[in-house]
Amino acid sequence: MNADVRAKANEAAFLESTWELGELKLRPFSLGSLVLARQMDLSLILGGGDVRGLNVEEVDRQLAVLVWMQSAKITEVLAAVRDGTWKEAFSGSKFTKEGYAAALLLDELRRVDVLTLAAVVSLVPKPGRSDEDPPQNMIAPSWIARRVFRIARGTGWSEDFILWHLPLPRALQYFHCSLWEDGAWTVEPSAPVSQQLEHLEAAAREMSAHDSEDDEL
Amino acid sequence: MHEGQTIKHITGDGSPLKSPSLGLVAASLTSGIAFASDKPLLDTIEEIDGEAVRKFVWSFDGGRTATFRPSFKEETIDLHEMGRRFNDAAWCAANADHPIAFMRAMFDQLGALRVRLGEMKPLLKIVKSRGAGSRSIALIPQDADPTRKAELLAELDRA
Repeated sequence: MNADVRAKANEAAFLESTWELGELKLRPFSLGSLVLARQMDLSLILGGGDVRGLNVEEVDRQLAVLVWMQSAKITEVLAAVRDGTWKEAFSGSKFTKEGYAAALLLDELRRVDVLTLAAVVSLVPKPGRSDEDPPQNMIAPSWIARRVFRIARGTGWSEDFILWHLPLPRALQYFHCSLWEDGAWTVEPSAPVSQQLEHLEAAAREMSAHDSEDDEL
Repeated sequence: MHEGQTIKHITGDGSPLKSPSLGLVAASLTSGIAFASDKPLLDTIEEIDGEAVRKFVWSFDGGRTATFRPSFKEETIDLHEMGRRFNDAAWCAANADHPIAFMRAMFDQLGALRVRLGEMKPLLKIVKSRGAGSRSIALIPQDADPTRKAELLAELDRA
């Protein structure tokens, strides 16, 4: 995946929230949703909305299950999946009776799939020697995930509070504290890279002119 | 460079061409202490506390040593003889351990280094602070076209 697309998608993931489908409120697709989809063999959901190989009835069925599991009370969904009664539970839901917009749901699945793929990484074994170069395709977590994770780890505050209620200047100071507590050396931030390049190009021209003057002496 | 190779450095501030350590570089090469690779010099300009600072690092093969064999007899020569030997490549090759051969080799080495350095421009070292307290660095050739420079900066921004 292109690095720019990945960065943008990782950032966009922080805008995910509850959304509405008619009268229903759907929770954002989560790790728990992934577990449920795997438990109920929802290939359409696990495949990010890929309908190939599925007939219309099966697509409709899986979308109905999706809406149910994302909108019904979590305790009810978990109980139904746990005891195997989910097939009856979802078919009796308000959503199934009223119908839904399949195209809208498929679009949503595909949108979430792009965000999910951007966040997926593979692990490679670390070499025993510390002087070995890291892999060329190494991916660091997104800037926002790093900050939220560090602040949450240091304070125990919820993701919701850190992201949406904690004032930015204070959040950045707590992030600084977390780095400091871990023994990191923190310094004044470097100038924006394009500004640095401009300054250095000017300095290089000046140094070059100075060298030429010296040569003439 | 190769696996297991050790590297030793000669470092300095300012222009490597004008640095007194250029003499040491030439002397080391003349004496058999070779560079670590065919790109032995890292010459950069970076911004430190708002000032542009030029630094250089020469990399030598840490496994190489210089051996001196003083196998010549004491002698006294005049300027004419000095010039004859100094300008005679065959004599220098046949008397490689003689101080005149060394001086000639170092003179050639220093001249070649000066020519090479005169054609080179320092790289622009752009530093970006990263969240975890670490830094990412891009080395941008001054002659790179604007598109390439923009690409390198974009890569650095993403790091």
